[in-house]
Amino acid sequence: MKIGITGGKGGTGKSTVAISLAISLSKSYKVLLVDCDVGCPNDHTILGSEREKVRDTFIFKPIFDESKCIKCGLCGRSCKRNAILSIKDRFPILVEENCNGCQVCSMVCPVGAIKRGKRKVGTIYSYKGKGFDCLSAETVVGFEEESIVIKELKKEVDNIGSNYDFIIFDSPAGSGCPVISSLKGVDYTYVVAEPTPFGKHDFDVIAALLKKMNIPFSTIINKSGLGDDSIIPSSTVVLRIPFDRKIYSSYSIANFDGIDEIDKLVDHIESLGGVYALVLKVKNEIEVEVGSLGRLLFKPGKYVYVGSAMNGILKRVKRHKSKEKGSLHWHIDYLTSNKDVEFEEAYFLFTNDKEMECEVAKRIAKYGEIVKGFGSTDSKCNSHLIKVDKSEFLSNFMRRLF
Amino acid sequence: MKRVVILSGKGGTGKSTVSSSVAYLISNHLSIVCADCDVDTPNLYLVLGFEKQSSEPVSTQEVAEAIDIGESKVDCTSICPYGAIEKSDKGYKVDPMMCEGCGACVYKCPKGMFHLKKTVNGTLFVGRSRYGFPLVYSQLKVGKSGSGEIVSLVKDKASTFDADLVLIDSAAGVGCPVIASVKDADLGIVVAEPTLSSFSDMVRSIELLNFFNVKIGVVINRYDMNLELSNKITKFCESRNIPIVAKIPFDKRVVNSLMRLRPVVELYNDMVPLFKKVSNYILTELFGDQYRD
Repeated sequence: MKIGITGGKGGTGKSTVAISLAISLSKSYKVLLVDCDVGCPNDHTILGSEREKVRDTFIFKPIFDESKCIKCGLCGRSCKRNAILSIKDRFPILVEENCNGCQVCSMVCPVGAIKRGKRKVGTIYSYKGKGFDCLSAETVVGFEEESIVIKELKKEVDNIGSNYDFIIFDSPAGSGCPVISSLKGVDYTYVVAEPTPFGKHDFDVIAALLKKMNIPFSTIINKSGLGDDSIIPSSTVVLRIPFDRKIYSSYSIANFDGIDEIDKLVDHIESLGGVYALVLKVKNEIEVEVGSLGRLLFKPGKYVYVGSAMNGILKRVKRHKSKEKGSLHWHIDYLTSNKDVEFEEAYFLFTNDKEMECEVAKRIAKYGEIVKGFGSTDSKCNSHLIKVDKSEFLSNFMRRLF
Repeated sequence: MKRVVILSGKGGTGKSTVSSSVAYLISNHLSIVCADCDVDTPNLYLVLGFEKQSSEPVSTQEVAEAIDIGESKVDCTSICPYGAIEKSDKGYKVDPMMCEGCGACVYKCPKGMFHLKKTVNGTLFVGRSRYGFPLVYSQLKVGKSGSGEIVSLVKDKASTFDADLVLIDSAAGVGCPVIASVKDADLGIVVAEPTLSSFSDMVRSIELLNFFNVKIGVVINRYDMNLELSNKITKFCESRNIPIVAKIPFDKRVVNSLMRLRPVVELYNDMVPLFKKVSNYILTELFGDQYRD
C-alpha cells in the first residue's frame, strides 16, 4: 500500500509523522520510506542516518555542433524556457539553468546540429531507518524542476517497491508540481495540518488538490493545543498530536524515536475498507480444485483477482499473500496456496462503496479473459478473476475509477 | 528600487512572521511594496490584511492535449520528460497536472497527436495591506503547474509601484518558485531554526543565494529551543562571513499574533527591538545609514 504524507504548509510536521508512521508500521510490516522533498530532504537528518548514494540522475543537455549549425535560430524560438539564446547569424548559446532537458531543440533542428549531452541534476540515496528502509534524492542546487528528480526517485521505488507492504511518500511543502509528482499514484494520504489560520488556509488548498487527484485522505492535527483546533474541519480528523517541546527537541537533534500517538494511525490504516486487485503469476500450467467450481485448468500467465473487504483491506491482502492460511475459505485461497502461483502486486481503492467491486472486475475484464464464476458466488457479476496479458495499466486504471 | 527576499529552505521556520513584522517596521521609514511569492500556499497577505484593488487571471502555462486518440506504433508515453502522457484503453491522454508544456510531445510524436493549448493557471491579486502599503500575491490554481513563472509575474507587478523597496516572502524549499523569488534580489534573509533539518536546509538556501550572487543575512528563530544547535548555526555562518542578524526566542505570543493574524510587533511593543534588528539590517545593507533608527 502506498501512503502519502502531505500538508500544504511547511513545518506542520509532515516528516515527523511520516517517520513515526514508518517506525510504528515496521513493527509488523515491511516498510519503505521515500523522502520526496528533493529540494530540502530531511528525513535522514531526523533519523540520524548516513546516506548511501544509489546513482546520479541526469537530463538531456543540448550540445551545439558548430560545424553543422546554419544559425537559423529555430532552436531558440522553439524553446519554451528561454534556455537558448540564438540570434540570427550567430551560434546559439545555452543558458544552462533555464534548461530542463525537454529535447525540443534537438527535435526541431533542421540539420541535426544538436547533439545529446548530459547534465547532472540530482542524486538518489538509500539508507536505513529504525527498522525500515529509506530512499531519498537531492537536486543539484540551482536546478528548478524538482518533479524530474522525483520521477527518477519513483523509478527507483518501482524497482524495489514490491518487496514492501507499505511505501510511505513524504511530500515537500506546498501544493505545486513537486507535491503532485510525489503523491501521484498513492492509495491514501494523510494531511498533517496545524491549527492556525495559515494551517487552515493551506489545508483547504491541499484538500482541493487531493480531491482533484482522486486521492482519499484523512487529517492529522499536529501541534494540537498550540492554536485553536476547531479551525480545521473535524470531519476528516483521525488523530491529534499535542504540541510538545520534547518532540521538538528530540527531533531537532536527530534523536527521534517516533510519536506514541501514531500507533493509533496504524489501527486506522488497518481498518480502511475498499476494493483491491491482486496481480498473481501462474508459473506453470496447473489444475486446481476450486471449492464448488470443481477442477479448473490455469494456463501460465498473469491473473488479476478483484475482491473487497469493507473492514480492512490490508489484513485481507496479507492473508492472500501468505501461503499458510489454515482453512481454505474463498475461491482465491485455492489458487494463492498453490506453490506454482506467485503473488506479484496489490492495488487498492479505498472506498465505502461495495458496488465498486463488480465495477472494477467488469472493467478489468475488458483487458483479458474471465475465469467464469470465480470469486463471484455472492456478487452480481460473472467473475472476479481475469487472465490478462499485461498488468502495467492497473496502477493508473485503479486511480481513474473514482 | 531594491529587492529583499525572505526565505528558509525548510517550511514553518517563521518566514511570514519575520516578513510581516519587518514590512510593518520598514513601512514607517520608506515606501515599500510586499510580494507574497508563495503562490501555492500564500500566507503573508493573511497577516498583513488585504484590501483588493484588482484581480486578474494569469496564464503563464501551456499544456499539451491529445487530439487524436488513435493507435500509434511508437510508444508516446516515453517521449514526455515529465511522465504526463498515459496510455489507456481509449488511446493517449495527457495528465494536465503533470504536463509542464515543454512541447516535446508536439515535436516528437510521429503522428502529430498532440498540440499545446494556453491554460489559466492562477489569479493575480493586487491591493493594499491594512497598513497602507501595496501588496501583491497570487494563488496558483489547484493542480496547475508554472509556479515559477507566476512568481515572476508577482514580482513584475510589485515593481510597477513607485516604491523604494520590494519585500519578497518566498515559498519553502529551493525549487522553481524559490529560484524565481531569489533571482535579481539584492539581499536574502534566511530564517532558520535550531533543528538539524532546518540547518541543512539553510545551507541549501545559502548555496542557492550564492549561486545567484545575492548577499545574505541569517535570522535564527526559536533559537532557545536548542542552544547547542543555535551555536552551531552561528559558527557555520561566521565561517562563511554571513551575519546572524537576529536571534528570536520561542514565545507563545508569536503564535498568538499569528492566530489573530497580526504582525507580532504590532501587538507586542517589547518585541519591536528584536525585529528592528532585522529591519535595520535590511535598511543599512540596501540604503546605507540614512533610514535606520
